[in-house]
Amino acid sequence: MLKKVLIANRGEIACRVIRTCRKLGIATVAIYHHEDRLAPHVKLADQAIQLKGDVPTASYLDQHQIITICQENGVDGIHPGYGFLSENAGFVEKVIAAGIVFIGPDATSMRLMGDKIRSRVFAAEHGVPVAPSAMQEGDLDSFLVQAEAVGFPLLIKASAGGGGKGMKIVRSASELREQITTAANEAQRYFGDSRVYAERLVELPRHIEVQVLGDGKGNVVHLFERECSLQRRYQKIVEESPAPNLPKALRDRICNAAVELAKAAKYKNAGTVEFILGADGEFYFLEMNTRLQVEHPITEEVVGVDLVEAQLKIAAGEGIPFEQSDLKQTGWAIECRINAEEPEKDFRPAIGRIGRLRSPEGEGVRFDAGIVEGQAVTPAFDSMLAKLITYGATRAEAVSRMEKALTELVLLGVPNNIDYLARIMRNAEFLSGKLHTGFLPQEAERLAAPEPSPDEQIAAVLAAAFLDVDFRRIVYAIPEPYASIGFWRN
Amino acid sequence: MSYEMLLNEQDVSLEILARRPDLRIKSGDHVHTVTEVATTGAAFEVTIDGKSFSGWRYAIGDEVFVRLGTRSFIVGLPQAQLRAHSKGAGHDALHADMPGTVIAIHTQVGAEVKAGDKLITIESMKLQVGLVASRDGMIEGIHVPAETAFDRGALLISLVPLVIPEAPKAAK
Amino acid sequence: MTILKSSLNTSSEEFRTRYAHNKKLVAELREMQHVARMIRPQRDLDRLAKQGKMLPRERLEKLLDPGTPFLEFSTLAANRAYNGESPSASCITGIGTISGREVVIHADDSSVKGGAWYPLTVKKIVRALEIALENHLPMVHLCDSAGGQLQLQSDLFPDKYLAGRMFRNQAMMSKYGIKQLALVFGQCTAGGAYIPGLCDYNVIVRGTGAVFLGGPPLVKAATGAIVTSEELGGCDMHTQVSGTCDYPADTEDEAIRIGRDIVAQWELPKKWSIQQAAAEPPLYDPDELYGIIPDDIKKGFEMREVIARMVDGSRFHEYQPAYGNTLVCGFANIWGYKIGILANNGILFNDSSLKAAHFMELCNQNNTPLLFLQNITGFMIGTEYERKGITKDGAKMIMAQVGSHVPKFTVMCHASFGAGNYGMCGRAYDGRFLFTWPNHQIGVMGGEQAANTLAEVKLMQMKRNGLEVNEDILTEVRNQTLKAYETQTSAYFSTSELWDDGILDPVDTRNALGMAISASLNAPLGDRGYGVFRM
Repeated sequence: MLKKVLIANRGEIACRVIRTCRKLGIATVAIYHHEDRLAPHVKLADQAIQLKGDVPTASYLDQHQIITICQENGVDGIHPGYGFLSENAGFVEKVIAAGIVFIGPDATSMRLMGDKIRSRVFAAEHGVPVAPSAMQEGDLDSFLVQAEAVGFPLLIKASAGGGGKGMKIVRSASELREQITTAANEAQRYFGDSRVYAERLVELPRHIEVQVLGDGKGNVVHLFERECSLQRRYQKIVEESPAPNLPKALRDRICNAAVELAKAAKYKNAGTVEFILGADGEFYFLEMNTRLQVEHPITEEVVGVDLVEAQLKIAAGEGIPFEQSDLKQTGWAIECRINAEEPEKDFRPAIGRIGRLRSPEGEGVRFDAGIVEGQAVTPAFDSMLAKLITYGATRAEAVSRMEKALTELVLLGVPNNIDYLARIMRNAEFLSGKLHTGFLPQEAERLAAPEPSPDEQIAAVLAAAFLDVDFRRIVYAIPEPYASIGFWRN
Repeated sequence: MSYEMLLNEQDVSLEILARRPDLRIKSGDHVHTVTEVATTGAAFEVTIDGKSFSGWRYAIGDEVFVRLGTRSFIVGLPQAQLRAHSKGAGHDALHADMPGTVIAIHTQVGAEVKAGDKLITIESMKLQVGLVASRDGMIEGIHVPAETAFDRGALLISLVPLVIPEAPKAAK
Repeated sequence: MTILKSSLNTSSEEFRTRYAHNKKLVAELREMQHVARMIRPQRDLDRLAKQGKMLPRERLEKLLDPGTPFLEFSTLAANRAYNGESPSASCITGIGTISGREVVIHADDSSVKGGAWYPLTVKKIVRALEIALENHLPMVHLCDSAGGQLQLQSDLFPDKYLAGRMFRNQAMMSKYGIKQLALVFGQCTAGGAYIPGLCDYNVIVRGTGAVFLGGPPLVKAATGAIVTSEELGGCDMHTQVSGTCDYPADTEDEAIRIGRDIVAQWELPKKWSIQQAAAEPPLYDPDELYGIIPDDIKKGFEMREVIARMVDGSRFHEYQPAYGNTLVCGFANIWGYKIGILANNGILFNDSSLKAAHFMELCNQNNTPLLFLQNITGFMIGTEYERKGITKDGAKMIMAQVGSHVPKFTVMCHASFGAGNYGMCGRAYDGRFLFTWPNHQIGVMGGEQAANTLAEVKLMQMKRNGLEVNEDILTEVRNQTLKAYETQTSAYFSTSELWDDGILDPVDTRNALGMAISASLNAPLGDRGYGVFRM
C-alpha cells in the first residue's frame, strides 16, 4: 500500500480523498495557494504545503513545483482529484519518471481517451456504438460534404474540447458553412486546435454514464450507471443512480459496452464512459473521462463501495478489490451540485464569502464540501462549492430527503443555486423521472423562483434591517417618553 | 425619516410609525405589527402581524443575505441603496495634497468613472501615489498633463456627476 | 397616592357650553398654526423647487427619528407683528430626537422672504439657544437664511438679547460640552455665517449651501470683484480649502443622512435621575378639559379636575389638604416623572402663600421638579391682609421659587394677573418651559380693573384741579384702556411676543410636559440652599 499521498487538488475532492487515506492509514499532504489558506483541506491533511505563485489556478497546475514537493516530502503517490492535472498525460509521465505513483490511468490510455476523435474511432473499432459522424481531416470544403452526409440535425464540436465550448447545432444545409467556420474559430481560441467534428444530434437525449474500474491488465468491472441529464450550460447539476425508467436489458447493454471499451484499452484505475441515449433506446459513445468524477458519490452510495479506496488499491498494484458479481445496485442516490451562481441570471457565476454554513444532517444525507465559514469565493476557481448527496430505498425517498436537506442547508454570503435545486426536487416532471438534457430549459418557467409573498418580503427586509445598528437604534434606542408618545405634533 | 433599502435590487422603504405598545412599521401601503423574537447570531425570528418567520442571515458590508424557509434574498442596507442610486458623498474636484509631478494619467476626458477608480498617478517627495475618484461621475477635465509638475492644492482632475439628482417636490 | 375623584358632570349645561367654547378656540388655534406652518405664496414655493430645496418642515421630518414626537415652540410667534409677514417668526424651533438623542432644532424658513431674520426671529432663535443652554441639550441648526432684515436692524442687532446673543449662546454651549451641528442648506451670510462657524460640526450642501461674511453683492460693492457664491463660500471651497465646513453633501437628503450619523456619534447624556414610575395615562379623559375650562375670564374652576386629566393614573398626593386651600399643592407623575404641582384655586392669601413656599422647599429637598398651573388674579389686598403681612408672605413665595434648584415648568391655564404671575413662576422667573392655553389672559391686572383704576385716577385728577367731572372723558379713558388690554392680554399677543414657548391645545399639555421634563433632566442641578423653614 502507498504510505504518503499528495492530493494535487483543493476543495471538496481534496477533503474527500484525505478522508479515505486516513481510513486506510495513509499519510496525506495537501497543497494550497495563499488564497486557500483557510480552506478545510489544508487543516484536514497531515501536512499542508503552500504553493508559490501569484495566480491561484496556475499554482495548482504547476507540475514541476508539485513533483518537487513530493520528492522533498517523501510522497509515494499523487491523487489528482478531478480537473486541474487529473487528465494531463504529460504530468502522468513526469510523475512516473520521478518514481511516484499516479493514482489514475496511465498516460497512454489517458491520451487515447482524452482525444475525442481518436477515442471515437477506438470505440467504433471495438464494437461500441458511436453516433454517425464526420471527422475533419482535410480542408473545410471537403469537411462540409462529409458533414452533410451524416444527416441533420448535426452537432459540431471541437475535436480537442469539452464542456460545451465551441459546440454548435445545425439543422439545415444552408447554415452549415457558417456554423462550422464559427465553431472552428472558437475551437482555435479555446483549445489552440481548430479541428472540429460533426455528429448526428440525438434529440432530447439522456446523458448516461458508466463507472468502471480497471487493473491495467485487461480486467475491468463496472459499477453501473449514473443519470446525468440535468445540465445547465452543458454542465451537470443533478445526477442520480440508478437512471430512472431504464429497462434492465438496456442498462446491461450500456454497462457491458463500457466494460468492453475499457477492456480494449487495458484501462487502469477509475474511469467513466459517457453515452447519449436517445428516446428510441439507441445509445452512442460520447467520451471517456479518465479520472474520478464529481458525481462518484452516488455510485458509492448505491453500490456500497469506496471508490477512492479502490483507486488507491489499484494504484498500489493490489488489483481491483472486488469481482463484478460482488456488485449490486441497492436503493437510490441523488447528488446536487451546490454552485456559487445565480440561476435567475442565466446561472451567472457569483462571488462573495461563505458567511454562514449550516450543513444538513439526517439519515441518508451526505454533504461533501470543502468550504468553511469565512472563506472567500473568488473568480479564481470553479463555482462548485459543495455536493449534497442523499440516499433512500426508493427514488421517491431519495428525492424527498434531498428536498428536505436542501431546505435545511444554509449557505449565506454568496448567491447560490440551493433554492433552484430544491425547486427541481419538487418539479412534477422531475418526480416522474422524464429526464433529458433539455429538461432544465424545458421546465425553466416552472423552475423559476416564484414571486415572494408580501409577508416574506417584509420578513426578509426586517431580518436584514434588524442587523443594522442604525435601524436598531431608531427602533430600540429612542428614549422615554419619546418612544411611548410616538408620532405627535403640537 | 424613512429607512431606504433594496430587496433583490428593488427599492423598499420602511417607516417606523410606533414603538409602543407594539412596533408598527409601514412598508409600501401596508402597516405591520412587528416583534423581533430572537436574534442569536445568524439565526433570527420575527413575528409580523402575528405570523412567525424564522431563518438565517449574514451581512457582508452593506448587503445582507437572508434565508427564509426555502427562499433566499439579498437585502441592501441604506448604504447600498444610496450607492445603487449613485449619490455618494465626494468631491467634484481632485486636488493635489502635496506638490509633485504627474507620472501617469489613467483616464480621459469624457470617461465614466466609478468611485475608487484610479485616475492619476503622481510622484511627490520620491513617493508615488495613485489618486482615485471619490465619487461616480464623468471626467470633465484633466488639468495637469503627464510629466508636468504642480503645486500643493493644484486642481488635477475635475468630475461631473452622471446623475443629476431630481429636485424634491414642491410643498403641498 | 390616591386617585382623584372627579365631580365633573359631563352632561351639564355648563360642561356643554364650555366644551363648545373651548373646542372653537382650539379650532381657531389649529387653523392659525396651519396657516403659519404651511401657507406660502406660490412664487416662493416655485423658487425653492427651482433651487432643488426642500421646505424646512420636509427637512425636519426627514431629520427626526421616525415615529417620534416633536415639541414645536412658538409656532405663532410674530402672529401679531410685521403685518403678518413673518409666519412663525420665519423659523422653526423645537425639541425632538435624532438618532435617539434629544436635541433642540432650529430651522430657518427660506420660504418666507428668503429666511431673513426679523427681530422676533432673533428672539425666537435666542430663546431656542437658551433652552439648549439651560437644559444642556445638543442643538441642530438647519441653516437657510438671507440674514437680518436690514430695515429693522436697530431692533435686531445691538442689544444684549438680540442677534449677538445667538453666537454668545453658541459659544457658551460649546464651552459647557453641549454639542452643536449645522446643516447648511442655503446661504449663511454675515452674522449668519457664524452659526455654522460656531458649531462643533457642520455639513454643507454642494450647489445651494454657502457660508460667507460678505456675499457676492457686498464683495462687488466693496472691491469691485465679481465672484460666484460657490467660489466665494460654496461646499467644495469650504470643505477642501478653508476647512470652515466639515462634510460635503451632494443633496439635502445626503446632508440629513450625514447629520443623523454625526448625532449618532455623540455620547449619550448622563441625565439627572429623579423619582420615576412606569407611565400610565390619566384615568379621566383629557378631552374633558374642554368642558372644565370656563368660557369667561371671570369664572373660576376646580384645578383638581384639570390635574386629574393631566397626571398619570389621575393619582395625586395632596400636601396640606386642609390649609391655604386657594392653592392646591401635591405630588403626581407625568409620563412617569415625579413632579410637585402648585395650582391656583383662587386668590393667593397669606396661608396659601406660606403653603406654596413650604411645598417648594419640600420639592427642592426631594429633588422634585415643580409644575405651576396658573389661574391667578393676584395676591389678596386690603387692610386686613396687609396687616397680616401679605407682602412679606408673597415675598417668601417668590424667594422660595426663585431659589429653587429643581427645574420649573409653567402652564398658563386661564388668567395671570399681577404679582401672582411672579409667585407662580411667570416668564421672568427662569422656568425651563412656559406654555399657554388659547383661552388664557395675562396682564398686570385685569382689563376692567385697569380701566376702573385709570378712570378713578382721572377723576381724582379732575377733582384735584377743581374741574367739573366730565363723564365722557372718563368713559373714553375706560374704553381705551379696555381696548388696549383686550389686545395685549390675549394669549395670541403673548405668544406673538414670545412671552411663552407656544400655545398648547390643552389636551396636548401632558405630552408637552413629558418632553419638557425629560429635556430638563439633561442639565445638572444647581446647589441646594437652606433646609426647610416651616412657615
